[in-house]
Formats: sequence, structure tokens, C-alpha cells
Amino acid sequence: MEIREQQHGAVKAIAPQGPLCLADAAEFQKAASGMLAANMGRCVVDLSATPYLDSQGLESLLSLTETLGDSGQFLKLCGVCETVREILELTDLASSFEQYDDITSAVRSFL
Amino acid sequence: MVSGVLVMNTAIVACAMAALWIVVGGVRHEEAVRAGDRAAAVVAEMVRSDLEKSFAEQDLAAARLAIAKAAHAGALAGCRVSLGDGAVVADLDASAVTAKSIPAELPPLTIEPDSRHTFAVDIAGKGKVLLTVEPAGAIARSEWLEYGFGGVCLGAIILLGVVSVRAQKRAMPVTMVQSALNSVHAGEKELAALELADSFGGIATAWNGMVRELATHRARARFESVLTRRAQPGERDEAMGKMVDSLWHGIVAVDEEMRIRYCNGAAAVFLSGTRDGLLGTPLLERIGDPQAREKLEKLANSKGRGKIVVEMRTGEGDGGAVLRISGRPGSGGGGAMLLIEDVTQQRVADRSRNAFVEQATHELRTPLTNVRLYVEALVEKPDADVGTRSQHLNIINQEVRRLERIVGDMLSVSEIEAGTLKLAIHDIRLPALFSDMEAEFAGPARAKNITLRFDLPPKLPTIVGDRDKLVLALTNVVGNAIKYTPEGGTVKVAVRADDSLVIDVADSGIGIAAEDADRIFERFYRAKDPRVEKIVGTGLGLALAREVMRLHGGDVTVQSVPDRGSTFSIRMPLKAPLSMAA
Repeated sequence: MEIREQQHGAVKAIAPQGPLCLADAAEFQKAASGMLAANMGRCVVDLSATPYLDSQGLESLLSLTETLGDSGQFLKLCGVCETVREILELTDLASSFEQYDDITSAVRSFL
Repeated sequence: MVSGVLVMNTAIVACAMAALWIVVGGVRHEEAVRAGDRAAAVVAEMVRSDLEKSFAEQDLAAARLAIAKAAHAGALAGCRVSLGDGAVVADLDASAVTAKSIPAELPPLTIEPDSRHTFAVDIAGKGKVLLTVEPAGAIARSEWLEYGFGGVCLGAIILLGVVSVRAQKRAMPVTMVQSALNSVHAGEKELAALELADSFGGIATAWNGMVRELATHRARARFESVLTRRAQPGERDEAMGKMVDSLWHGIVAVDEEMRIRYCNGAAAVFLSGTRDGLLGTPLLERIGDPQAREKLEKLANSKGRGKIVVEMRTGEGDGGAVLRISGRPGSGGGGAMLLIEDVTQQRVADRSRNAFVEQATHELRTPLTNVRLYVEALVEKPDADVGTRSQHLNIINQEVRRLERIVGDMLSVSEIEAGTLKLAIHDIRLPALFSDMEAEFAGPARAKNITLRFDLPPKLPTIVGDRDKLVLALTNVVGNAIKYTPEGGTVKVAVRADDSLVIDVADSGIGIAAEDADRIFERFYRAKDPRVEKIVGTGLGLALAREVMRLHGGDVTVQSVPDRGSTFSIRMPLKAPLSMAA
């Protein structure tokens, strides 16, 4: 799957292009965890091009936020569409992430 | 091994005793035989006359009495009178007698008497009888044998007893060690209870040494575990530890030698290690910046006074970070507490803001200076001709417009910077938007004799976004393309719409050097190419275009070959994210 990266100052935005499902989810998790480690956690996951996700996609996001949790942080999500937002709320996992409307607000949260 | 030695000792002693018994027994046996022989000869002599008399008188009882007396007198073990045919006439053992009476004619002797134990007794007129005596010595030999064996057995038993007592004495420490080990197995924890009395000898001493060494090790381990518990949050402090762990700032406690006694999860990430791996290691080894290291070294020696704040860079490139470490010595005079913060993004923002202010001042000053100069010229020459006045006013007008544009751009940039730039989301009809743009740029393109072409697909979707901001972004990109393309060049705008809307703006301009390609989207950044420096520009247009497209969930990227031209790609998703629709 294509994963776009954007550098916003010292913050890296990671935007998976498409739904986070099956093997794509594992690929995304691997790429994202590498970037999180390389940037000391200064990363934002931009889900504006992710229309939905399955259990594996959810697991990959949870795994990332749990890794960050060891250093007192949450995974920052932005551009979450209605479907993904509902999935997060129905599974009671919305509080496991920091959510921002757009990438700019998410990046500003590092200030 | 001990039992082997015991068995060997026992065997040697037993052999020695047996040898002694054989020698002594042999001597005694010889003496007994000789004494027996002498007694037998005497008895034979004593009994001879009595036998002659009793045989002559056919008195069997007298013969038996005679041998009984003789046997008693000679202390014989046995005494027998037998005839030549083997019939026993008289014997100490009455059951052995076979002849009931003395025959009138004695049969001749078939056994030749040896005159040692068997003697021939001549009975006058009748023949010879055989007198057999068994000296007491022969019987004594068998008794002696029994006694000997008994003695040997007794000796062996005594010896075994002695050896056993000695072995038990020797094995006592081993038994004690075994019982001590059993106690350990049963759960005995007190090492002092496992020690043996030193009087038990070498084994006990060695065992006690081992037990004491173990006690020393245990004490040391207990001491270290207490140290570790003090360094780490124990069970009691677990809740507090978890709270400190949930901090996104790194917390580190160091001892007086700057060794890490405690660090939370965030600190472990900042110091590029693991929490457990960092405990006990020198903090300064983790600080790469020599200046920061020098300041932190002073912290350990400052005896409870003075807070220090140092900033240091770690890593290279995008992954690099700026860490701010604030430290204060411990109140007890030993060690220190440090707080580590990741201030990378703040530093990037500071740098960007400083550059912004610096460039903005510069950009504003140039048109202002021009305006002031031409206004002054007009004021100083009120009688100037109409042509000069209108030229000056035109320049003033241009510069004011330039100022207006710069201020407008700067406002947009500062809105983005402050996070207050909001998109006004509407449906946007792309064909209309592009035809407006075509009309707007037709004039400037024609002025530079540039072929401007819009390649639009026959059907374009209606998208969702902020029309004014999109037009601002597109105008900046297409405007730049026309501005940096020499006369007679070509600018082509190609639009594709599949998953996302992609607008490629390709020009045949001066191109962008590879080292500038990443930086042209920075605010106020202008390429160092002298051809660029001749063209008026603020360096804000592309920064704005990228920010606007990123707000729409898209991006602006560039591919360029110097002197051949550049292609700017504006991309935005067709399905607008929820944040925009709100």
C-alpha cells in the first residue's frame, strides 16, 4: 500500500492511502513504528485518505499507541473520517488516541 | 573412600592375627603331640599287666576297668583294646565295644602296631591284642582350632568395633553436613543454624567456610536489592511510578556519581535506551553534546544549589531532536533530579518565526522605500510635468499593490502559523474554476509570448473545498510558472481526476537545482540562482500553496531539471476529510 510522508517542521505526518485492512495494516504498522522510533514519537497519522479499517487496522493503530504509551504519549490522529470515527467510538477505543481535525492542528500540538 | 581404607585396615589386621595364630598353634600342637605320645607310652605300659591278667581270667569287666583307670591316669582322650579281627573288646566309649566276650583263642593281629598310639599287648598263651590310645593332645588340637577360630572372630569383631567407632567418628561431620543439607531442602533459611562445631575437623571447617561465604553473598544480594528497590519504584510506589511513567516529559534521578537511579519511559526514549538497561549506567555517557555534558558534570558537584538548563541536539536530519534538560541537585546533597523535554518543534517554530520576521521586514522595507522616494519626489517637485507625475504615481501604485500582496500573504501565513486559518468549505465546480484561471493568466502569458495550455478531461467532478484558498494556491503555482519561464516558453496545466484530483503545472522555465527543490516551500526562501534574484517575488507563494493544499488533505510537490523546466503537482483527495466538511 502507498504510505505518504510529509515533513512539517520537526513532525512527520504519515498518511496511508487507502483502507487499513489485512496485510496493508501490518505493512503500515511496520512503516509507522519505524518512523515513530526514528522521530522520538514526533509523528502524526493522517487518516484523511483512509475511508475505513478492519480489526487488523485497528490493532495496528492500538499497537502504535501502546508503544507510545510507554513514554507517556498517545498516537495523534488527524483527518479521521466518519466511518473510522464510529469504529473507534463503538469499540471504545477513541480515548486511546489524540484526535485532531487537520494536520496543522495536530502538528501544532507538539509545540 | 573412607570405607575402603577401613576394609583394607581390617583385612590387614585379620591376616596378621591369622598368621600369628597359625605359628603359635603349630608350636603348641607339636608340644601337645609329644606330650600325648609320652602319656600313651606310659599308659600302654601301665595297662599291659592289667590286660594280661584280665584276659587270662577271661574277665572283660576288669579289662574295661583297667583301661578306664589308665585313661584317667594318663588323661587320654580315648583308649581301646581291640582284637586282631577288629572286634573291640574294651573302650572308654562303651558304645564302641563290639565283642561280648573274650574268645579263648585270640586272632592274630592284622594291624602292625606303631608303638606310638597303637601297642601290641602280649597275652600269655593266647596271642596278641591291640591297645590303641588317643592322647588328649589330639583332641586338644580340635578344641584349640575352635578356640582359635573363636579368638579370631572375637578379635575381628573387636577390630571391626574399633574400626567402626573410628569410622563413625570420622563420618560424623559428613552425617552432619548431610543433615544440614536436608534442613536446607526442608526450607531452613537461617544459615547460622547450618554451621557445625569446628571440633569435627577439616570437613566441618570447610563446610563452615562455605556457609559463611554463602551468608556473605546473601547479605550482599540483600543490600543490592535494597539499593535497587530504592532506585526503582517498589510495590508501594508502583502507583506513583505509573503516574510518573504517564508523563511525556522524561524524569531522571541520578546519584552523586551521575549514575541513573531511576528513569521513566519518556526519559528512556530520549536517552535512546530501555528503562532497565539504563539503570546504574552513567548518565553522561548518553549525552553526546560536550557543552551539555560539562554543565551536567557541574550539577553533580554543586551541593544542593543552583538549577541548570541545557539544550542539546541528538541525532541527524529529520530524526534529530533538540532536548532541553533541566536539572536540580538533590536536597540531601547527593545526586540530582533531571527533567528532559523534547523542544524540537518549538525550536523549528522559533527559527521559522525569526526568519519570517526578518524576511518580512526586508520585504516590506523595499516597496515602502520606493513609495517614500516617489512621494518625496512628487512633494519636492509640485510643478513636474504630467508625464513624470503619472509615472511616479504609477510606481507608487505598483509598490502599494505589492505591499498589499505581501501583507495579504503574510496574514495568511500567520493565520496558518497560529492555527486560525479555517477553510470555508463549499462545492467547487472545477470547469468554471479553470476557465476563470485561463482567462486570468491569458494576459500575462501573452505579454511574455508564452504558450499557456490547459489540458482538462472532458468531465471534471465537483469537489469539496475552500474555493478562494484553492484559487490562491493555483494562482501562486501557475503564476510562478509563467514568472520563471523565459519568453517564448510553454506552460502546460494538466488535470487528472481519479482517486484524487491531480493538477500538474509543467513549464519550460529555468528549473530548480536539486539542493533548492526541498527548500522552495519554506517561507521566504528564494533560490540562489541569479536569474531568480532578478525576478521580484516574496518567497511566500509556494509556502502558502503547500499549506493550503495540506489543509485540504493534499500536497504540492515538485520535480525539476535545471534549465529544462519544472513540474509542480498539486494533489488533493476527492473525498474530503470530515474535518473539512464540518
